[in-house]
Amino acid sequence: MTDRINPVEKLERIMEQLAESVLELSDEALLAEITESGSDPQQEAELTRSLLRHAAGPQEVGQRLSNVSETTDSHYCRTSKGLSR
Amino acid sequence: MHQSHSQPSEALRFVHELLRRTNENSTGAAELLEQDAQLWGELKRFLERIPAPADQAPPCEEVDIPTPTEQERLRKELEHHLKHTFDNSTPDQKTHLREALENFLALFETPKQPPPETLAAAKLPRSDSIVPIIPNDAHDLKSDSSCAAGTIVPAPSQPAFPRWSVLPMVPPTPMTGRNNSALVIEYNKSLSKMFTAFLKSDHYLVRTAYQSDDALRLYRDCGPFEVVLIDYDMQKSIEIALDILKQDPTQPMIIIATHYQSEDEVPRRKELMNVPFLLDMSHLRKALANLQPRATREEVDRAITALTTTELLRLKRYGDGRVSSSHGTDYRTGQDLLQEAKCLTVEGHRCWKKRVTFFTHLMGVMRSITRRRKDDNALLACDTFKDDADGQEYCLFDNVTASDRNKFFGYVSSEYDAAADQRLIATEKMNRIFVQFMDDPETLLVLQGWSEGMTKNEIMQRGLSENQYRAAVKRIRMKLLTPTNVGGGGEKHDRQD
Repeated sequence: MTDRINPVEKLERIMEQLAESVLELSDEALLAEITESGSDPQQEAELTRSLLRHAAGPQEVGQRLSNVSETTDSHYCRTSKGLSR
Repeated sequence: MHQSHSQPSEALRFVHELLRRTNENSTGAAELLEQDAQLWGELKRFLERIPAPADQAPPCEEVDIPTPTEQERLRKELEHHLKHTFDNSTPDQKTHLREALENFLALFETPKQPPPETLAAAKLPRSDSIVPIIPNDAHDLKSDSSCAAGTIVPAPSQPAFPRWSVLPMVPPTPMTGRNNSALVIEYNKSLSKMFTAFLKSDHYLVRTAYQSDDALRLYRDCGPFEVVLIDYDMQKSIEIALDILKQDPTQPMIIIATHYQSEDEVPRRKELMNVPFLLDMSHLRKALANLQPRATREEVDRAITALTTTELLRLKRYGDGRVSSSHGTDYRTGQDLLQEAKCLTVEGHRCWKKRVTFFTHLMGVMRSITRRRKDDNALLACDTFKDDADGQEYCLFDNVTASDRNKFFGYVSSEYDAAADQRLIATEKMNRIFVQFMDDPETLLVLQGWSEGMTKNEIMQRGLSENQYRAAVKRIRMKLLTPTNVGGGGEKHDRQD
């Protein structure tokens, strides 16, 4: 029953552990992984720095999200037949 | 005769406006006051003898900036007062006064222009040899019995007036991008307004109280503040301080005791041993900075520049991992999360206490943000609509009624539970992740262990060596955190209906 009750929490745990595993990597291992994944570490780092420097405020992020995506009321889902509860 | 004497308190307002400008704008003003502290002292003592009408100084107020017309009128009024003082001075005093006052008034008229080169000549004689004189016709200035009209008044033997000029004139940009709040508890209205002007120039939103009751009421209604300034000489000042600390023991506070030469001379209660006592007003800004160790915006900018390549990469990857299960209106990329962490810091919602590195701070903020967000976000169409193996679109909820969902997830209530949708989506995401590692039992073991909240050692006890565990984790990272896979179990969130 536990397996079925907490999928959200389970998913959160997986992603949390995944994120925390990044912190356990040595600098060399981190650079090697990024290179292995086909990215240029230096370029990626500078891009991140640039993003940090020109960070948009949370309100702007929220506005962008609301513009980008169609929101579905969580009480409803859209089907080919229209909204149904 | 000028009618201006009937409204001397407006002259006070003029000087406060002058002080505000001095603190805010003018390097020339800084130099003038630094070189002519005695002049400022003379003016202050002169103006302190001008009583403010009761209705001019309500218990709690903020300094209003006079309109240009009012300023011009006030300038003329003060000029009259000062010239009257000048007319009753000795010839030598007149020479010095003339130069000093001309410079002083010229400064007001053009506050941003460089100071006159002859500033040195504008110094006043020693304050004990020249004193302001109250005009004979200034009837409303005679409330101080020691100031008989038309007589020379010995200069009060008080400490030299604070040398405001030595304070840096360019205040740091507040992290919050908005005003900090301050409470000034000062019975002397003139000093109160000067503190207010100084704090305002330093981006503070200032509230003032002249009496203990008002102070406590203001604190109760509007506290806590970034800083509370209390004049030690005020009646019940210690009781006020203790009462405020009783309400909030962490309230930053400065007690001003400029009449003392050293801290040892100031009688203080043991409860106030940790409260800074300010004896020299020139250290006010430093004392304020010490109270608020949060970083300034400039320091954040410098910290971003100083981040190393691996720190930046780690931040990005960490952010990617933290949000990779996000969906609905809460969906964001690791970059979004990182940017949000920085913005919350700059806007003051997350205080960077500089005892930790900026890297550690950002990590903590990202961790905090993602833990705070749970199931309260609305779903997006892209979360509920998926493609089957044949590329046909279907909705996760197509064949599931609310009651079925509740039954599936074990809810007793027959009421629809919004979280059920979130759980269904999470289940689908989990399945997609596990499917990617169907042929990798070691990785599945790690994922299973993580999902159950097991530690590394607990997972390894299921039959994995250290190297196997590390390799499995690396494979998970490579699959789920690579740029094409970031965004929730190997799928991109760029779908639009």
